[in-house]
Amino acid sequence: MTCDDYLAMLETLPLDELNYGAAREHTALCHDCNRVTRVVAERERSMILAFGDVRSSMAASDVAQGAVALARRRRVASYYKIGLAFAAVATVVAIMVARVAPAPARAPVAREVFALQCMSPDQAAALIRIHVRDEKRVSIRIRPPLGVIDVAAPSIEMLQVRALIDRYDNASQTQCKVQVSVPR
Amino acid sequence: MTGLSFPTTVAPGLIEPLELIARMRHGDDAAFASLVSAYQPRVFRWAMALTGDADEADDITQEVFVRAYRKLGSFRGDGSFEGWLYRITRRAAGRARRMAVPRAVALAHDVYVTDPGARVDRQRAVTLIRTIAETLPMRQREVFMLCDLEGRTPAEAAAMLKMKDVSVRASLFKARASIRRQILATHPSYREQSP
Repeated sequence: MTCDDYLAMLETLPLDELNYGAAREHTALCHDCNRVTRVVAERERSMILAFGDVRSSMAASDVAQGAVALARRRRVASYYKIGLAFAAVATVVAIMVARVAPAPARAPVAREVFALQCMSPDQAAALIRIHVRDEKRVSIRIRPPLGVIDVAAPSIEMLQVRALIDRYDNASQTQCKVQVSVPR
Repeated sequence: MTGLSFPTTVAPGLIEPLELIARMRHGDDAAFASLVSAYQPRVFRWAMALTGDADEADDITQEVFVRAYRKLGSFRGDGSFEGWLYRITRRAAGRARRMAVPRAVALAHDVYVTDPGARVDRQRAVTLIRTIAETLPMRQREVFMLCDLEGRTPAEAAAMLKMKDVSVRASLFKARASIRRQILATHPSYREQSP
């Protein structure tokens, strides 16, 4: 066995395995390889002892108590996390549903221009706003010099508007001859 | 938290982890304290070899037992408890490494060595352990620690690491080669006398 062969074995094998056969015979004869082996053995033994002797600065009782306390705290925290996660998912789902769901169908809006015979446009507008069930759904445009009002409203409200105009703005009715006061 | 009744240090070989785990499942925290007492030195050494830093190793040790306490219910007992604990340590060390803020260079005396007479030699060896932690790839570091520093067979290390036996041997050869080169390169007598 040459020194190169021996050193190649020393590089990777456990030192115990070099105590037999040709390797042992070589170290008995080769002073350099013997010294290198002793250096490695001494340092590895020292390293093993040091490794076995390494101690934590924390007492085991403190580690155990700390671990139990932390584990319990984390368990509670995990319940909160799960709750928050559910809440977040529910919020996202609610937002998505609100966006995806079709908007409620709007009633078709009819538009009609009424030529007034007795009332002024302002009087007619005030009358409509008071009497129509849902005045927010009725849009009234007044054209003062023309004596007309332009009404846009869903069909139900438009029926009400038409009835009001017929009733209070009719030349054959007595109401047309008097100043109409807007009923309360 | 109520104080745990704490046993004196117990060697891992003298306790039966499965029995203690069974007691823990019935709410016996003293059983957990016994487990910690038996395994804390070993977990600390593993963490020390994986990180090379005593403070970090302390943090990892604490974290390992927190996780062990929480996950003991999932330990089925089909492998060794030590291997299970080692894998938790490895994951905790990996996580600590990813989140690590560079610390100031650790002082040589921050590791407690119980034998003051051999302090110089030991400090040199501890420095070498740190060097191993810093220079060897993780797999080689683990295999070297389990086989050459703790005396396990490659087959036992393979079971702990969930690796193939042949992969453990290959990593061990590489680790030994690297470490022995470092030993020879840093040993004063060898440096002086070698050509």
